[in-house]
Amino acid sequence: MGEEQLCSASGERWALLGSAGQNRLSARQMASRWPAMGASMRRRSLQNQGQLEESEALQPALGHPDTSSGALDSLCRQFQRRLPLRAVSLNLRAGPSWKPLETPQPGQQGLQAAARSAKNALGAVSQRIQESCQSGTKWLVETQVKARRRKRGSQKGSGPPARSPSHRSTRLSVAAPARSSLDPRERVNRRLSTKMGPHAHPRRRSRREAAFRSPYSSAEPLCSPSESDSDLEPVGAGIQHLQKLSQELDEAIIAEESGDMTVSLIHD
Amino acid sequence: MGSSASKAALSATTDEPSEPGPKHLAALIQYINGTNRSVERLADILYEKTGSSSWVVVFKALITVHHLMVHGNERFIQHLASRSSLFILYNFLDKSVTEGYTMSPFIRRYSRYLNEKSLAYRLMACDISKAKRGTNGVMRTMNSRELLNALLVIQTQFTALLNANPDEITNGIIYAAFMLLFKDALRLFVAYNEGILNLLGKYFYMRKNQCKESLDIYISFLGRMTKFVQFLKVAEVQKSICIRAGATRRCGVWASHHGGFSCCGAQALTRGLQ
Repeated sequence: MGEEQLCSASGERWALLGSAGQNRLSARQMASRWPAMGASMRRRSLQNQGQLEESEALQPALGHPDTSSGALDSLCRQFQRRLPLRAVSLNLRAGPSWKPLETPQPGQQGLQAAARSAKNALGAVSQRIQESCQSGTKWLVETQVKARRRKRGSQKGSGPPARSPSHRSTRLSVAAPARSSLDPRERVNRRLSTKMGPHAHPRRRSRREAAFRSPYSSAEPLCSPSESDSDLEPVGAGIQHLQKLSQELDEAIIAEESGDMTVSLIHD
Repeated sequence: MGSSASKAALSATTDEPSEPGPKHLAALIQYINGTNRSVERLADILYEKTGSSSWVVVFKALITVHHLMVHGNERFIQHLASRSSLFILYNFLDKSVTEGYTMSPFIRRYSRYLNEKSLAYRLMACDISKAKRGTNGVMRTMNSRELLNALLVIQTQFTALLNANPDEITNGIIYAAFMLLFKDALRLFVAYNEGILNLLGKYFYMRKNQCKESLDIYISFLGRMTKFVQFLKVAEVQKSICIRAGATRRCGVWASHHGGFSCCGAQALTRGLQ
């Protein structure tokens, strides 16, 4: 292929660069919602305390066959402490009649609002992670180490390991970072509609406690830390190497431009 | 165009087997930078000189053009990028003298690099070798789409530059050309490197098709690193060049270890696509 053909082919290969805008959420705006969400939840729980005290009639007695309604009350109380739900009228007849979740009632709108704010907060955290990624890739290794420690800690402990947004984003995938993590909450709410027995309460409670410990928590780790560690460590080291190389060459160029280097186009 | 500028252009491209005279080049720089006069006539004179059968005249014309692109005002390279035809020397061969056989291949590669340099300016609308460097530089702050396009352009230009690397420098004319190539190589590689760093930072947030393209660019970058080290080795031989030892050593160390880095890095990024 001749030189001219190469040149013309290269000229036809690319069009002129166009401007590509990229919409990003304001990091500060989203980051400000995250602390506000926890405060709003605490305020709602305090407001509902008064309602709980009025409606509370029976003490929860786990495992007692005659206090099924009391167990339900205790469950409702625990949820109301954690979720901004209003008091639910109990059906004390043949069996519990739970309204389907597909048609949200006014009482559950607070839950959806909380889920929405959690979803938005996820975006804020992922945005922060994205900004931290721009400075380097140290977090690549650090988050994997944390995930490994977390998994070891969870294996030693009782609860499931919590999933952090940084852990999610280190996964070598092209998934969008700001996906909603409503699955744990939805899973928990759907469990409410299933058959509730007194013997299932301790296990469900521990799972719920783990879920409500963090909105990003999940029972399953994203990936194998050992495998991702081995993949990302050389990449991180290589990137640091490239950064240092860029700095040194930049200094060399500056020195050349200032005339410190003994380089001249036509030597004397 | 002033008579002094035309005289300087003709004097810089004589058939004397020596590099273009510094005073003639300075006069041309003064004409381009100091005045607002059109550079079209100057470019036409130099373009006509590349049509000569003598390798000395052709080589000196190319060196003069390259010198004006590097040291002159941006409007000169802007004019070259807007021309419909560039240097057509893909089959140049000077059979009149023995040295013509050894110099002609380099002249062909050198002219191709100058064509790519002009084309890159046309595609990117700027001279990337003169763009701002550093953390807040042009290549570090580009978005994904522009970055992928820019890296492809830089990749092609850098490849042409590395291909124009002379294996040995035997006379003053090729030495002058090599010095200009060396100057370009440093700046172009820094821009290339910063673009790759930006690319790696954005990799995990790209779409799948962008990731594939990024991976290809990254693998190409690794291959060009090896050739760049060879280019620097040629530069080290020249006693008049005092390269910062750190940069060269860093290149050498990186090149010697980049086999492991490239394998692990490319494998890690590839696994992310699956």
